[in-house]
Order: sequence, then C-alpha cells, then structure tokens
Amino acid sequence: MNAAAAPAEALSLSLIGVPNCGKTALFNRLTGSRQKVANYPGVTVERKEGRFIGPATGRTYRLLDLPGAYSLEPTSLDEAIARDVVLGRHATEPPPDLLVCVVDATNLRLNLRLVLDLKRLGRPLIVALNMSDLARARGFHVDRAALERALGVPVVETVAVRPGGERELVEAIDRHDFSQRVGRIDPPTLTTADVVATQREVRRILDEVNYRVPARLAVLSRLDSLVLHPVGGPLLLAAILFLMFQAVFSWAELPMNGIEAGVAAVGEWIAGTLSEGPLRSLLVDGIVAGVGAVLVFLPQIVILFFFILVLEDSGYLPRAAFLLDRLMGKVGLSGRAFIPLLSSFACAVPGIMATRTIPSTRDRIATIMIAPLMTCSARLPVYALLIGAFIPMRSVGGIFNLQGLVLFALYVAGVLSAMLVAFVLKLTVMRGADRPLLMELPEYRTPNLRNLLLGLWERVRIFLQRVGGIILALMVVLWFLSSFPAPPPGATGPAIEYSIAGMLGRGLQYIFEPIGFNWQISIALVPGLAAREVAVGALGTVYSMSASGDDVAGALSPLIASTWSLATALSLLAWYVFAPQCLSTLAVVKRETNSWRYPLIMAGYLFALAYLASFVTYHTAVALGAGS
Amino acid sequence: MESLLQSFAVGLIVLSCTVFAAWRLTPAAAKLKMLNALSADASHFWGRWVARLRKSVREELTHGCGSCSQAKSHLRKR
Amino acid sequence: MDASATPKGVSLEPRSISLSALMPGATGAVVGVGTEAREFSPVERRLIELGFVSGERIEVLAQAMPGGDPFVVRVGTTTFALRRREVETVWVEVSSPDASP
Repeated sequence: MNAAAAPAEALSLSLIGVPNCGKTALFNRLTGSRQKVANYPGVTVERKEGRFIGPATGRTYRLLDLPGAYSLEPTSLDEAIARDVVLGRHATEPPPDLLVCVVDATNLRLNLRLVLDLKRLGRPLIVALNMSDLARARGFHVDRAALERALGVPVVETVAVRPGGERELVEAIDRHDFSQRVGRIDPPTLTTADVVATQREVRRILDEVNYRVPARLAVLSRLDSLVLHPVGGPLLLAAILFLMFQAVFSWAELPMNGIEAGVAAVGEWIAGTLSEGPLRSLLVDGIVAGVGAVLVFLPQIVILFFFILVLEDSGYLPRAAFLLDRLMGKVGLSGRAFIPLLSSFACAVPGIMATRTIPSTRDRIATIMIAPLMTCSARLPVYALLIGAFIPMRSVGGIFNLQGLVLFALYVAGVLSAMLVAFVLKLTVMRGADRPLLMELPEYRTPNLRNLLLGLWERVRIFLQRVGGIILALMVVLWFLSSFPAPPPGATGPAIEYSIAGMLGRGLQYIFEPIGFNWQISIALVPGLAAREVAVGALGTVYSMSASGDDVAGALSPLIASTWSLATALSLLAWYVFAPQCLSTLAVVKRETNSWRYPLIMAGYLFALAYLASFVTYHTAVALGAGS
Repeated sequence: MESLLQSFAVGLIVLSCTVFAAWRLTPAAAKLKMLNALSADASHFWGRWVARLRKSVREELTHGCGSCSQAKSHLRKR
Repeated sequence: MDASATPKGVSLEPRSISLSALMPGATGAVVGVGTEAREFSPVERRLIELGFVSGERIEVLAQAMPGGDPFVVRVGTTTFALRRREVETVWVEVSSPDASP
C-alpha cells in the first residue's frame, strides 16, 4: 500500500506508556512546537495533541499523548482516559489507527506487561524502546531484534532526550500499513489467572531475549541506608530543610543590599531630573518605591528554588515523602499528597493541579483544601520584610541565625496547621479508610547543571514578569487611588489620608484594628488579593506617599521598624501563615473541583484561621509588653 | 506646560495599567466570553489581535492560572 | 523455573511467609500474590502489575519509625515504598532467615 492510497485525513496515533517512561519527552521530540494543549471535556485531565509529517510518505499524523497508565485496569481518572482512548470507546476521541507504546529500556519488567495487554487488543502497535542509550551505558543488556521477535510487533529504539533520537520511530510509523483499521473494542475481562499468566509471559520474554540488568551500585544502597534510616533519615531531612532556610537569609544579604542601593539611586535620579508634578510622584512613589520593595527579594527566591530544584532533580523527594508518610497517614492524607504539597511551596496553583494524580477523590479534595497552607514563594517577600525589620540578626547557639530560625518556624507553622486542618477534615467530613501508598522510589541522579540553571532562570523570569506585569500595574493603580482626590487646601496631614485609598484603609481598619493592623496595612492587604507580594510593594507605596515633603522613597524596612510595634509585626506574620487572600488559588480550586463549594469553604476557613491566629498573636504579644 | 504634559502622561499610564490589571484579574472563562462577543469582524488588524488573545486565554484556561505563570512552567516540565 | 509456584494456596506452603512480616535486610523471592478464596483486590492486582510476581527477587531496604510502616522494598530493579497492610497477601520465600521475625 502506498501513500497515495492512504486516507486523506490525518491518521490518528496514540502515544501510551507507564508513568516515568519518557513518553512526554518523546512526544515533544516528535511534534516539536506543533502542539495543542487542552483538557478532555468535562474532566481535568490534560489532553496533548500534536502533528508531524512522515518524511517518506508525506502523510500527516495526529499524535495524542495519553496520560501515563500502568495497565488497562484503571485506578485513577488518568488511567481511565488512557484506557478509553486505546479501546476506541472515548466519547470525543476517534479510535486510534496505530498505538505507539513507549517502554523504558532500563525498566522493561515493569513496562512489558502493558505492551502485552495492548497487543492482545488487536489494534496495530509499535513499541518504542526508549532510553536505550542510557540502558546500554548503565550496563543493561537489551536486544531489540530479539524483543521484536518475541513480541511479534515492530520494536524501535528511541532516545527522547537527543535530537534525532526519534528518527527510527518516525521511519517505522511511515512504513506502517494503515489500511487495516480497528474500531471500538470491548473492554477485556481479565481474570485472576490471566493477570498472573501475563506476568509470567513477561518473565518468559525477558528470559528469551536475555534481558540483563546490572547489579545495583553499592554506593547507592549505602546512600539509601542513610537517607531512609528510621532515625538518620528524618534528621537528615530536618537538616536539609534547616540549611535551606538559613541560606535564604545568610547568602542573600549582599545581593539584596546591591539591589536596594540600585533602586534608591534610580529614585533619586528621577527625583532630580523631573520637576515637581504628578508624573514624578507616580514614578518615584508609585513605581520605584512599590516595585523596588518587591524586587529586593529576588536573591532570596533564587536561593530557595536552588535548593528545591536540586532536591527534585536528585530523586530525594519521594524518599522524603516516604519518611513523612506515617505522619501524613495519621491525619488522613496519603503519602502521595506530599508531592503536590511540596509543589505548593512554589505556588499553590500548580500544587493543586498536581493533585490530579491522587486516585481517591476524597484524598484529592483533602489535599487541595490544605495546599494553600504551604508557604508559597509569593509569601516570602512579606516574611522577609517583616523578619528583616523586626528580628535582630543574631546568632543562636553559635551556629544558627535567629532570622533563619524564625523563617523556618513560619514554614513549620504552615505545615503544622495544614496537618491540623487535614486531621479535622478526617474526623468530620472526609472520613474513610487509609488508601494505598504504592509509590515508586526512582534511582538517584546527579542534578544536571544545565537543567538547574535553566530551572533557576525560569524562576527569575517568572518573578520578573510578575514584577514588571501585574505588580507594576497594581502599584500604579494604587498610587492613583492614594493620590486622588487631592487634599483640600489648607490640609495638614499627608495627602494619602484624604485619598480614596486612605478612606478605604480607614474603613477596613475597623475590621483589622482588633488584630493590631494600622490603616496602611489594611490598604496593602487589598491589592495583595491579586498577588501576595503586592502587599509589600503596596506598603512601599503607601509609606512613600505618607512621607511629608520632599523625602525620596527610602528603604521600607527601617521605616516600618520605627513605626510599627513588634506585636503588629508578629500579628501580620501570623496572618500571612494563613493568608486567605489569593484569587488565583481560589479560581483554580473552583475549576479543579468543578464547584463553588470548596473555594468558598476554603476562603472562609482560611480567613477565620488567619484572623484568629493574628488576634491571639497580637494580644499575647501586647500582654507580654511588645505593644508599643 | 510641563505640568500639563506630566498630567497627560500620568493619565495614560494609570488608564493602561488599570485596564491591564483588570484584564489579568478577570477569570479566564469570562475573558473568553468577552472575546467571543468581540470577534465578529476577524478580517483586519483588530480581529487578528482578538484571535491571538483568545488563543492565549484558551491556553491559560487549560494551564489553570491567570496571574501566575508558575503553573505553566511547572506543567511543561512534567 | 516457576512451574510449581502458583499463587493459589501458597499461604499453606510452609516456607513462604507474608511480605509484611519481613524486617529490613531480609531478602527473598516472591512466591505469589493473593489467596485462593477470592479474586484479586485492586491493590493485589496493582502489585502484580508493578512486578510482584513469582520468582522475582525482593529485598526489604528500610522501614519508617515508629511502627515500621511504611517500608521500602526493592523488587527486581525497582524500589517501592509500601504500607505493610498492602502487602499482607504477598507471599515470599525468605533466603536470609536471620532477618525474619
């Protein structure tokens, strides 16, 4: 059969494989930038489709990247979608003309049973033996030709991470005869004996093709015996986290001073160049003071993400999840919740989206509900500002610095309250038995320097984009609201007191006075709804606007240190541990749960907790004499 | 004269920032609805611009997050 | 090599014990999963799919404290963290008896 006789419309291919087999990398390699990402209708499983053209035949292929699945017997929404598409029973996907099953050559034992399940369906199948170069380099013995003979379907080697590593697969697809088409297939009914028989078949094939795996490196076993040790493991985890928070303060000091000086210089230059007028006020008080106040925290964010990326790349994270599983189980969470929760330290939004991999709906909702209690990176500037202003830089016990300790304590407070909330949920609305863990611990890898730098640059880019985009825009709006209407002639106080923002702040003060917030803080909380860091910038603007006369925007930190009481500062810190005000998080919860119920409950309980925590903190601090 | 110019520049900056912030904070579904209402004339420059906006809003809808692009990069990595 | 090792009724075989009873350091081979009385539970089925099949070498690498749960098992070339309750019906033949209880 030749190309001319092939159907005119694009041929549909489905890419399927077990999780972590390198399927998505191969998909990217095949389709390049010609991808469409959307969701399957009605559910929140990501649907990725791309196109490519066969070089030999000129045929257009429509390639669907299916969610990872261990087998055709689904235990999660992802796996159910993958099965339905493969069977041709999905409501909106056509039955695929050809299946491409990606298998990890370094883990054939786990991958081959899916191949056998698929082969049994009778739908045309090509096997992509992925990571074949890595397998050889690590001392695996994989015989492609023998595997092809044993399986009875085409097997090609691919290296998804290398340009050109997809060529043999493309050629095999181009050689495939698409005249045979298979429509809907009934779901296979596999009995106990079938499942065992399949697994035995896998072993038989592996023996037949002489698949040999290298012995595990002794050094890795020794590493695991420390990392997973019942006493040493948790100590190591605590030490790593501790070092991370210490570094955020001790390493960042120098670059932060540099940025601060730069911002001040820009402010002075503008003030000296422009004549007195609204534009000068907008640039100096609105933009430089507001944006500068946030920008200063860039070095601390880079340091935090340096640690997170190294931990992620090295394969340590699932091991940390193992160490914490007992604790998580006690409060009714599955150990799997650890990874979404850890993502939430960057931002709750991707964390909440990562809960899609949790099979049980109940576990998933519980994880979503507590995700915002993980201290996201947008809260770091607020913490850092307040800690820098109110907590002395002092060493404790000779090795720790007090500021790092306080930051560590704030992160711990977030985690502990998450545990508490999860526990309450378990006792009340989310009752039920513990669910299985069954988590794979991947081999250790040396973090790749290039990946690390790319990841860090990505973070820097995102931060600068936020600063230059939404934060800048909100600062300008806030400046406008704090400048108009202008004070009446003969007014004595600073202009902001007569402005819209000033009036708003005074109104909000009735709500926030009991927890020690002044009107400046009350104003800053409002734009903080859009992005938490904006609260810091807003304080910068508000204080800059309140400064009388020709004061150029000074650094914010000494200013609040001299005007707020310690009780107020601690109360604001407590508020931000819960920080109910993040619209993006609430929006994503609404979408992921497909109801208004959970975002409303979340906003309500976070606000209540934040208010309560701040109230207790403030009044305790005042009673202890920190009220002035 | 210069103060008049300053006022004009300030007005322009404030207005554009307000529009930008409002757009960024609107939920993606509402944005899409607005764009669909606008797209009647897709022939000239304005129409192409609307189409481009719609594409980016669709992406935002599937990636999940309006004001934080963190989500996007996170998913890309997986 | 596994002709005699069927999963049905293996619990009656004297030398095989439940994987959940092993301590760190124990090594052995899987005999089978499940009991004769019923079909596989979803967890048992998934365990088989993850590679807990007869003849496969296993090694218990670590356990969390307190309670010894969950624990880390290496099966073949893959390492998993599992709860003890999930692997109660995985039957194994221990090759280093000093580590069994």
